[in-house]
Amino acid sequence: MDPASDADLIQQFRDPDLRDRAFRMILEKYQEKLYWHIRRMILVHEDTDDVLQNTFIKIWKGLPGFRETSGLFTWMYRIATNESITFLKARQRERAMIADDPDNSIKDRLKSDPYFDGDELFLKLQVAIDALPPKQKKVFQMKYFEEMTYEDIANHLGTSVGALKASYFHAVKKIQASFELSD
Amino acid sequence: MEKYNWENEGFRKDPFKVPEGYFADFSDRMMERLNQEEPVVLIKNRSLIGPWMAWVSGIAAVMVFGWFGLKNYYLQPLQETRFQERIDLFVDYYGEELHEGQLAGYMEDYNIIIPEQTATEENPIVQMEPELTEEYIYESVGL
Repeated sequence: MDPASDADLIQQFRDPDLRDRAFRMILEKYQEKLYWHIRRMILVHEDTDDVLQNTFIKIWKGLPGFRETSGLFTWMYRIATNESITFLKARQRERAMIADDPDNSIKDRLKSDPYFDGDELFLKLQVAIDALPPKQKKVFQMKYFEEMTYEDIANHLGTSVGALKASYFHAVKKIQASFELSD
Repeated sequence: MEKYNWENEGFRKDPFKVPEGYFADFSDRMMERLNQEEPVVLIKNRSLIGPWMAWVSGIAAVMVFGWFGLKNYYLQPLQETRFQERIDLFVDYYGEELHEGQLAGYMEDYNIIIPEQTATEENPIVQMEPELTEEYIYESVGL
């Protein structure tokens, strides 16, 4: 049997008798893609799990009003991105309040995460990425790790290719500087 | 650049793992959690009221037109100003994080209409009050 199309799933979701079944199919279709998008921004599995759940709650609540002016995945991707940024900002505020060293903090969290097995050099890269402003971090993750084209990123984030190139350029410069500083 | 070589392919290998069976269990956990949330409200176009309620509609129409008259002449300028201020705050809060297109996208995706249009039988629309719209935008983006 062919998998249901997004349009079919949205249609089924709007039928109260089929809503749960349709949403479960949406979950199964997209949970992994959204998980990895969030994980690359949030880094730690437990936090990613929380953000992914919050993302799907927003999707569940927002889907009745979704007008299909963008694709379903593009819309869900935006929600996941915004949820991740909201989480990252909260984490930054939390760190500022406890006056902790942010570099060590993310490094320690990654080291203690049983679901992370990167080496020291990768940790160094993650610390440098984590210090970026949320927008630059998001663009860097999508370009570098997810290997998306600028056009695809622009489509997902609703911004211009020129602005994305500038963000990526600044992100790369900052990461290079971070590596040189810690050498 | 070459010295650190962080742009090499090796860094692209994913060192992130997930617990065994995480994705297999996730949809069950999620559905269980969603069932504990408030029931989802389907936003539908307003249905036409049955003939037996026609007299109620008549009274309601008089009240609605009265309200819109009051609102247009006395209250709407104030509400629109507050609405615009809150939208400005919302955009300022996100700063460069939020492109105007994203805000427009949210409003469109969530069927939010800035209060200028009026619903008619030929063109029924779901119209939210400004206060509710603001709440909805904030909640939608996790503010």
